[in-house]
Amino acid sequence: MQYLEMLPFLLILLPLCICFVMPMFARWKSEVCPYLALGATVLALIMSVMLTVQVAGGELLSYAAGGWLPPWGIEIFIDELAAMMLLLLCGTCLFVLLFSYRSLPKEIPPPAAGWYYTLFVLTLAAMMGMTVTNDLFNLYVMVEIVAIGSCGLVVAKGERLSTEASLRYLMLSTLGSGFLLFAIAFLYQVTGNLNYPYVATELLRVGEDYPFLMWATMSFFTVGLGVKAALFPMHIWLPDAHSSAPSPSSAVLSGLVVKVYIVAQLRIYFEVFGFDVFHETYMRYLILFLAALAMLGGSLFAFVQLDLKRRLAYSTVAQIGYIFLGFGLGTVWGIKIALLHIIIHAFMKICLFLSAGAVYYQTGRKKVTHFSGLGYQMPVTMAAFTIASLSMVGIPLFGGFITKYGLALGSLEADNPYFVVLIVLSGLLNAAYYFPIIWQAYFTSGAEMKFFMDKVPVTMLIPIAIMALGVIYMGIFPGSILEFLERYVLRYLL
Amino acid sequence: MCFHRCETFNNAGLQQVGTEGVVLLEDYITKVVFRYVLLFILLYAFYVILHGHLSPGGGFAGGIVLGMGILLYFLLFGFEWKAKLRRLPMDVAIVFIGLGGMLEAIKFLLPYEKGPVGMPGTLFSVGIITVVNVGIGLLVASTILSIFYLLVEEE
Repeated sequence: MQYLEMLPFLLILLPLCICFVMPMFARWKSEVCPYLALGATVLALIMSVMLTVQVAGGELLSYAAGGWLPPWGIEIFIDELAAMMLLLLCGTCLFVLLFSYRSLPKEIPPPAAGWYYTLFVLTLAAMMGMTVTNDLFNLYVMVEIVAIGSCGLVVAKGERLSTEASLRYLMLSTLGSGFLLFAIAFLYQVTGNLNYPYVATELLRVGEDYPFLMWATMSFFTVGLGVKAALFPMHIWLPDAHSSAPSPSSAVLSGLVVKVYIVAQLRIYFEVFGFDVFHETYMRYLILFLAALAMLGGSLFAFVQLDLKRRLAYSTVAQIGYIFLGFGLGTVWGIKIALLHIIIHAFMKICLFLSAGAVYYQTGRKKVTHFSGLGYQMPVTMAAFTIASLSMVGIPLFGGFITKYGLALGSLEADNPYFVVLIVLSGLLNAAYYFPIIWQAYFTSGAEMKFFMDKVPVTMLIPIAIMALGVIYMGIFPGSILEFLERYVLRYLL
Repeated sequence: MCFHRCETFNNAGLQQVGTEGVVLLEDYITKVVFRYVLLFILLYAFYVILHGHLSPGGGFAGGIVLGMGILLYFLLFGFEWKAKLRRLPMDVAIVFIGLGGMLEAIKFLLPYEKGPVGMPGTLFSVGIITVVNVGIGLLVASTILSIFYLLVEEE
């Protein structure tokens, strides 16, 4: 029973331990590393399923590391949001690892493979740590680990472009970490606490005495985490980094890494500061404005890209705008839909990036203009790609429709009808840059109209297919997840 | 102190490094002084490492000093080293990361009441902490050395 109580902590510690040991294997027995990484992820998945079952039963789990109780020690706290993020992170990472088992040897130099898996598990463990931690400084440490790990995932390709992109990513995310550290130091100075609930209660008492400090802290958090989450004007590192990385790591970076920063930002806005401060410091309007810019700007930039992965990366910028739009609306419904969009976008984007990787694996094509006839040569991959693109555009029956519809309803509910126009416009732009690819793949005249099965290993096809099925599942049965998330949102927004 | 560019590694048989690759200290005074200073550097490094639980410093700071001492030695006499010896720090660092990570993980799982408690002011009274500090020191020193070799040899 004692070990069951430690489960929230073991969840982070065991993958971390495995990735401490993995360099030894990477150095002397490199072929073991994929299995070790897969084992770590499966272990984490099992543990997070157990935790989610407990949380779904209405129990919030908390663990104080080393027996130091919350105001002093590090507290691990698992609520509905954390449980959902844990399931998402472990589940999708498992499939991405399965994909990378066969695709990596084609994308990165062989000696780097063992180190790649080490960094992958490190990033996964730190992302899980970021979602479950209840301590500001522990959050900062985990943010740093994720930054280092994800830069490593980008640079693993060893090409000139990816090195340059990774260096830019490293610099900008270090800048973001600096802002984050400043903000945490300010909060600690004012409240004397680092634990979220304690900081929140202290801020209620003393927050009004320091109006400018609250503004400074709030904007430092927005910029610091916004750079890492690629909120629109601060997104400049994202397209390079995500398009020049190997495709499994671009899937993880685009689908998961930017999302955990958003979750951390949400926790700080609504758990630490509370909605009133978020509203009164005008940070809410800033977020709404930037989200609107992101939805339009990201889509417009994506429209002019010819490289497929670059187009997908800019599309991520636009989709992050949707998530921030939900937060900015500030209603229960808006935040719920934004959290749902985190899941759905993770499924869609991972599916798209993995399909791009599979296309590159079989044909070596990277440009969006070279997709003619691929619907016949790679039916499974292109079917999944089509499903994910339709979902991106917001066709009913697919996941993206639920969030677009939900955000439109939410903005009407919050008396901001202009955003409905923006959402429709952004959806049309999405259609404008996804449909030509699908059209080429299926309906180009002159291409050979003969079905072949994909000449891609099964371990690469299964993850793509499962991600596509996940998108459809989210589009038809989003209710249970929304109810699960509503419990989290209602606790902080009443 | 003067810096010369000179041919290195060619006699070590590792790989052909061009004449413009490495900058070494070729100075008689530096060499002679260094022979006497090295012992003190190492002594101070181990002092800082072993007193980690009593005074400022500890595994990391002591490890940096240790690594710098050995790095200075490499800058002066490194071209005489065998290729295998030059790769050793990387292996040491990797092994110590694995072992040290495990040890640190246990620290988080044990309740703090069960942690080692020593006598204040006594050097060898805290059990595992001294061992961990020495491990961290060796890890940091070998990490510095391996970073230096990776940059120099562009492996």
